Amino acid sequence: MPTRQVTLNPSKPLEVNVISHSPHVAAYRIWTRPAGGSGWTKVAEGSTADNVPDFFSTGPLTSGAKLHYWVGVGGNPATNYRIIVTLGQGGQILPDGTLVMQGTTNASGVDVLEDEVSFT
Amino acid sequence: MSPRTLRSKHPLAPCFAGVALLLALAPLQGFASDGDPNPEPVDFAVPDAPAFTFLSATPTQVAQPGTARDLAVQLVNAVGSDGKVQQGFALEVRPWYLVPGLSIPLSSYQKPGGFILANLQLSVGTAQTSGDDTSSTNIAMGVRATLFDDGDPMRNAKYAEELGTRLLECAPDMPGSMSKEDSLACASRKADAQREAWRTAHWNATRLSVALASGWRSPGSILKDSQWTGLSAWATGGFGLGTWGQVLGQLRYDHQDLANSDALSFGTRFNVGSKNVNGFVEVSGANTFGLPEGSDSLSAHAGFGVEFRVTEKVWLSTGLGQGFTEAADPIAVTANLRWALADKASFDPSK
Repeated sequence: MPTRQVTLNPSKPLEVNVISHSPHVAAYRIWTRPAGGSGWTKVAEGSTADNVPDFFSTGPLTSGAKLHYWVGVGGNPATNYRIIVTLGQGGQILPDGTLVMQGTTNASGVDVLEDEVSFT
Repeated sequence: MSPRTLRSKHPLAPCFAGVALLLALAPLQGFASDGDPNPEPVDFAVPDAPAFTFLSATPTQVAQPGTARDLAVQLVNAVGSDGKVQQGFALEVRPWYLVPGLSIPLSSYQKPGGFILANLQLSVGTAQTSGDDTSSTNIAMGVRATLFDDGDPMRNAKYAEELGTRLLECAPDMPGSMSKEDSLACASRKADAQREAWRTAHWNATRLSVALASGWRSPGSILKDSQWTGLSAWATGGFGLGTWGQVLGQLRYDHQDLANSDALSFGTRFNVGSKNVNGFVEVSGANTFGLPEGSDSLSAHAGFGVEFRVTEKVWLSTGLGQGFTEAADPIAVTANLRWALADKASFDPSK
């Protein structure tokens, strides 16, 4: 699985925001794993249509830590979607911290994306 | 449209004329019998891709660019370096998606302006000219807009919230505990079940769509030598009646510039649906005008059909249709009765 690398400040918490820029629902579940650790900890889950803010804070995370995300997209069949997950600290998005997920839903109107980010 | 007289020798003609007067909206289907004892339904629906319908083409591959750059590349590839248009080109796009920085989240989609913009669709197509002149190419461009659609579940906030909950049920408990394929299959099943329930409850939702297509002919496929050939316009609407009925209306206008003729097609259909009985009454017709004197024509058709569920998987259907036409010498109209058995309803109110 390809892994994106993002540089962060190990003394500050990591801020994650999930936004749908298209008429689709994004359901998400996010985990983190500390540097050198073997187990994943779920840090957030929800959907962009549940009237609960999709912004949360976790960490601080040190270099070598990882973040794993699963995003389920739902909408009308065969429609283009655009979901953005941002990684930031102190209110600022980190360099390479904008994860853009684009694609087309299937005949059932859904798609699934899963990936991992390594922090340096 | 000037008033015309429709002639019929059938003794029930006044009854059908009465139906036509009562049903003033436009239908989706009519029976174009023209004397055929087994009339087939005529599809007057607003086309998904007006440009392809204008060309009477069904492309097997349709380009759907996801970025403005991809769109530009596709359009450039449609015209060769010699200025000739490629035949068989087909492209379909929703413009909003290509505009950098423009977003239409669900909150905007659930408002009229955002909904219309998100569903605005453009289509472009080319096809070889029919007949002996195979070197020439027909070109068409079309636009389709859905002005409102109460049957679109994504316009409903509660539906969207429930969809999010169902999708989350398909997320892995831990990274690597579920394959993407399994997760996607789970999400598809849950979304299908939710959408099916929505459709059943909203089969007769109120909706209105319009479309427009225009065409050109390029002699020798030279783009700069193109001549305008005409245009077609469609409007289709549906109005729900409680949970049991629906009135559908359809209008189509065609202008053929080379033949200097115009045609207006119309139709009205009243659907009644339930678990065990389906029925419809419909009137459709066409008026061609602008042709050489004496060639203009007006025709109309009326029909009704009923389906009964005999057993769980056996439906008995019947239909009756009648045609009307304007002619210097009245012709005998046809009426026929069709009986058929099927294992599913031909008209499913849940779809």
